[in-house]
Amino acid sequence: MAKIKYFLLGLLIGVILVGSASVVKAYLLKQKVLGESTVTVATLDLSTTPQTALFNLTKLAPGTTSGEQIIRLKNTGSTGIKYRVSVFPTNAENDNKLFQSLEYTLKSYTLGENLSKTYGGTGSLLKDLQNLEINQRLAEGEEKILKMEISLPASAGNDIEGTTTNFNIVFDATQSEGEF
Amino acid sequence: MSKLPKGLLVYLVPLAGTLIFLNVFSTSKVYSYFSETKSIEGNVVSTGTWTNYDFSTPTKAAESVGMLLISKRFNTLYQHLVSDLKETISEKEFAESMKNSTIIDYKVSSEPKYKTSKQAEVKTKISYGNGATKSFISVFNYEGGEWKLLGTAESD
Repeated sequence: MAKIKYFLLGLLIGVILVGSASVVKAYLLKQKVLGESTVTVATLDLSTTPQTALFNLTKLAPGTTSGEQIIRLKNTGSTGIKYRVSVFPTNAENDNKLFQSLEYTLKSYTLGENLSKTYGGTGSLLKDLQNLEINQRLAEGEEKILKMEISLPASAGNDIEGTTTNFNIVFDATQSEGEF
Repeated sequence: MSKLPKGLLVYLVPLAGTLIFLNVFSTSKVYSYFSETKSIEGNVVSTGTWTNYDFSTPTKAAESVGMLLISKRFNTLYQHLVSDLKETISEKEFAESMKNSTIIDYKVSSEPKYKTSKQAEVKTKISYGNGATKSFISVFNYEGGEWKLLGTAESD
């Protein structure tokens, strides 16, 4: 019984010590009103052009490519953003051999449309394009472009002949100083 | 080094535990930045055909059908169906209906039997993944410069 009392006493002292360290006492001697203050929360938004069907390829053959397709990204919010890109098949059925065989090249461009950085390339599989953070920031209202190219390697087997895959390109944006 | 009195430990242990517990939770911060996700949907990539399947005779057409069935190239096979059949089923529906096929071997087992100058039957033997083997008669119609598959029926 005595041990339980000591235990509870120790617990109480611990709570008091921590509690006393975090209590802020404020004695108001005078009060001045500065008038109405306004706080407006920033908005974060990103638009893409095109909004659908960047790629609509038929009769792709081994050793051929889609050619570079342009994606325009615009920061339509009121705070700076950074972003990353991923590609997902629309469902399990589209995660087929064709999807798993496709390769990609992604190029980011500066405001003046000068090449900034190239991602992917020969041997880089589209299925592995996951959460790729692009090394550029978009200030409020700023627009930049990406150029994306999809290719089917010459080594692609006959078993993907006459097949189709559907996929989505997903952009995740967050504040420039934020974390995904 | 002298040991701490037992009575003191009774105070210190819960005290330390409380401090650690409160310290952990009071210093944990949750960061939640604004975020947004946008998708470009509707992207489609289809491959063409780069193997030349020969449908110039009923026998060659039957052999080509076999290769397409074994390799599960049902979209390509669809292109070699007679037009009347294609009007009753879409390419997607056809591929969907065939997707569970377990055909592992396909052999032409007879010479073509011409019903008319533009229709011929070919006997085939098909082996399945479960070890079963069945005989079929495949009917081909001459249409658009090649022998196209009209249908297949199981035979004795």
